Amino acid sequence: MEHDDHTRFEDDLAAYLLDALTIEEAREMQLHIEGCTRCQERARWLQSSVELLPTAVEQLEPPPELRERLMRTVRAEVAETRAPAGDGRKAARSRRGWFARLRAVPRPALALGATLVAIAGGVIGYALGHESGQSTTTLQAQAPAGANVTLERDGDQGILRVSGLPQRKDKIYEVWIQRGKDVHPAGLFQVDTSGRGAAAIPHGLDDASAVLVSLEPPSGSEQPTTNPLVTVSI
Amino acid sequence: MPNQGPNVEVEALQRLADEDLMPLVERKDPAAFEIVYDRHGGAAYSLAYRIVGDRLVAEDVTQEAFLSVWRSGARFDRARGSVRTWLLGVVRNRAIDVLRREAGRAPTVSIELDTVPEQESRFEPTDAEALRREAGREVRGVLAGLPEDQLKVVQLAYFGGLSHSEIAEVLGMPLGTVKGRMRLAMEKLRATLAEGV
Repeated sequence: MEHDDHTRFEDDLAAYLLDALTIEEAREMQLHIEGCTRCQERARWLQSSVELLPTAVEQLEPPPELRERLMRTVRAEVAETRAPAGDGRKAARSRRGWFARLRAVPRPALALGATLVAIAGGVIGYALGHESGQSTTTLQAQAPAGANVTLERDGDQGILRVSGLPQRKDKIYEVWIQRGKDVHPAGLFQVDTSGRGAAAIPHGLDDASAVLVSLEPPSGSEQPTTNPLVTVSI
Repeated sequence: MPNQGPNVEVEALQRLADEDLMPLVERKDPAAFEIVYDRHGGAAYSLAYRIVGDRLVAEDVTQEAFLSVWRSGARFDRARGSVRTWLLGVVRNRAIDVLRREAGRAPTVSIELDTVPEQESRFEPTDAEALRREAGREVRGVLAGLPEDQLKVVQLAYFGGLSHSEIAEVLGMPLGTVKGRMRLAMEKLRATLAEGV
């Protein structure tokens, strides 16, 4: 009887992999496969032929508009998700097209390592390169000896560029916006082996009194845990 | 200062394997998502078109599939296969859903193999893409060598989204025969392609 059952399942295996069984039959098959090493092996063997079927279709070039639509939607969703609630800055979003890309490297990703930091640097470079039409003010920071830090401010947003800061594998540099006595986290960055790095400040400079940088644990902090290394007075 | 930003970003991400891009997609990184689309959007659109038979609908299916990947936080499990296989599975499911929603619509019963020459891409194919195209040609060759009745049941199931009993009804043959032909076709495909693809 068991042998008959097994034969039945084995006969249905191709139909199962082709998604041609009913939901109930597929469920039974799944349960059987979980307990049957022979069918597991056979399913693995046959599965690769099913996976090849899409490659047999005529390959078409998708219309470029499809890609544009997709990416427009994706970037708009990112901007929407990450914009502070109720900040009333929606009108400014269109001129912050480059900023949507800046925020493409999310905060947790920065902790992944130097590769992603390089990516973030690249995006920042891209951002400035594409916003040449806007007026930017460069502010010099108070920084440790041997380091040079500037804030390239463009209205409410800016780019902090650093050089000569030590690379720390066990820490991350965190940017803070100071408003009076309050300090708010504004981003994380690391520096490369030559001591250079950059961080985007998407907004918040309009009413800021200073931008600070401190060394924090790799995942960043909600409040500074060390004294600021860098101070840019605004 | 020279602006090397976009090159740094794109080159760094493009060096990543699909499986390493997916965690970035999960963290809502549009640049990683864009690369995943660039690598697999063509295959996805082609498969969608093969199933639904209409370019505009195929566009919608492809868009929905990729957005579902983006919005779902990318439920990709690398233990269960490649990103491409997984993505094409998402596309196929969406396309079959469309077919099924269109109640009464005749299934895609054409057993014409896709013998139309592939469109010339505007871009030079990457090595990976060239290998995929070569694999596609091999698979088409093997499928072309299958007996017509075996090919038909496979096409109706995979590209038409029909169950075995629906196929039996459409083709007017016993259920056991349908299952048998599916099995023979898939075994032959697998055995022929066991080496080299």
